[in-house]
Amino acid sequence: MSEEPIIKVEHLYYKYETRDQFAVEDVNLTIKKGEFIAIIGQNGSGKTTLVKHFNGLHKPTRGRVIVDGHNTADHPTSELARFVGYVFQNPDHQIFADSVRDEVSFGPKNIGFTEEHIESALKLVLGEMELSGMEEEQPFQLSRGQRQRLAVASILAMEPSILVIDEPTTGQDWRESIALMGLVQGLNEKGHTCIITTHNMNLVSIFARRVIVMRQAKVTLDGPTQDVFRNVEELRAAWIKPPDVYTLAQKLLPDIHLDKPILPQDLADLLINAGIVGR
Amino acid sequence: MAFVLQMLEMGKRESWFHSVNPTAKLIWWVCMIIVPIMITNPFALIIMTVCIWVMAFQSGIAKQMYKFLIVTYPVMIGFIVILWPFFYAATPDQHYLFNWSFLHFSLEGFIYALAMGLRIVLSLTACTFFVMTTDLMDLASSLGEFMQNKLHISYMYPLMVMSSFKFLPELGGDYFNIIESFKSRAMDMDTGSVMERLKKYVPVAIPLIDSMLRKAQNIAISLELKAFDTNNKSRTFYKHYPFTIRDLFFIFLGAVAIVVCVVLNSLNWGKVDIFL
Repeated sequence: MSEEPIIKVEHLYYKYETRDQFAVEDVNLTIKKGEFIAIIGQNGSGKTTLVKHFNGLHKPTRGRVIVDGHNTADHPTSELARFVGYVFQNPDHQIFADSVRDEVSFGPKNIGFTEEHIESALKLVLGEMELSGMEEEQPFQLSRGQRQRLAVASILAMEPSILVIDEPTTGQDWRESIALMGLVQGLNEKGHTCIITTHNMNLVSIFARRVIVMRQAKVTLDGPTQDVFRNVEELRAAWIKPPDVYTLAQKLLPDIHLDKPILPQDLADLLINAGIVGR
Repeated sequence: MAFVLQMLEMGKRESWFHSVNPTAKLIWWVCMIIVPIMITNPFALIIMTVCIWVMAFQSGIAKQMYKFLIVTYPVMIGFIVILWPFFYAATPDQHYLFNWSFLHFSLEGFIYALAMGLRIVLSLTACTFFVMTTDLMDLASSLGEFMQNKLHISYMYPLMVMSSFKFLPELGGDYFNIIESFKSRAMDMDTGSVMERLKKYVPVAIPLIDSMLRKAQNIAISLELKAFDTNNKSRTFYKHYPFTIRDLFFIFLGAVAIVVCVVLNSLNWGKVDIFL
């Protein structure tokens, strides 16, 4: 992960035309290149509204959002899409083509990639999303998990450096969710900045390195995953239940400092090392 | 699209006019459609339009109505006022402002076109007022109750209308999501000629139709799961929309407008011709 900020959000306010209250209120964030961030919060807390500012789908009512040096207020989404990929919650909202090939190559064609460039990007992303050999398949006949991966592939083919995925695991079983998140993690390890919004705290604890909690249009917590999940009071206020492993760690080892997110095996090791349980 | 959804949202507000029985408002609206068909007297049309605007102020929708009509009025009326005089039958006694070959533009033609434009203004204003003060779901439910209980028409038909109203906001939401997902793939929807832009919207239709078909299928299944039977004539309604004095008064307002038209016509003051 680089120290270079890739997204800067400064005093961001956003209000929908049809509502009186702000959907996002005084949000300040700095996201560095290569981070893996999860934005969590109740429905209606402002998660999706916030991330829609990153590729200019929403323009700030007040404040500003700088993405890779570009003020999003001054650039249309079609331009920002070159470096911010945004995958929607429902893959069926974007699928329209007759074949997987056409679906994936739609974005790169809009950007103006050459035929050779599109072909190599297509091969690469279909391989990464485990859809190789399905180029001529009809997208609507794929399974929900495959359609979700196709949606990610069609964004990845545009080679964005930032990937925003809104609720990536909705409607998927645990195996599919882990598989998809594993693919996203792989992209993150290759240098993509990955931002997800989700309600699945177990996935957050496994994959995200930084967590941002939103409550009533504001960012109320922002920090390393292990620190955020130990802030029980604020999480409770935001109606978020941390993964059981953190609740247990908080009860059994309240004073221990965690320098990385923990999984059940890590907690078992910590408990053994602390002499609380025997091997 | 956003503005249509916003207009529909206005129908959920609270005011004296909002609380009038939706069927009563529908009857009033039908009267206001008949009025401009019956008369073309510009003064009568202006007075009735002003009355609707006063009602709009009272019901707190004037600002939104203005925002909609300030865009719609010129488009709807502009063509009529500009083009109609050219098709107004030419006679030697007219005051011509422009007269060349088959092209002629007379003062009489212009006044006539203005009256035609005012007819559109009145019906458009009445229609906007009706939409902005009526919750479409309430309208469909009240019509459903009225049609089943008074006209003995199967509930299936009002349900069809009601379902389409119910899905309008959802359709709007899906439409915006789909547009956003296309923009996120670098599709520039906002530039190019009209034809180019229309072409860009073709792929948008596919996921939209797919989403609507899925929704239709889901609602059909859920109706069956909830024992919906189109032949059941004795079904009850969760909400009732009885006619009160206020509703009858509102219908009376529409009826008065019709009576005024009949009187004006009988006195030969109903048509714009008296000014020509």
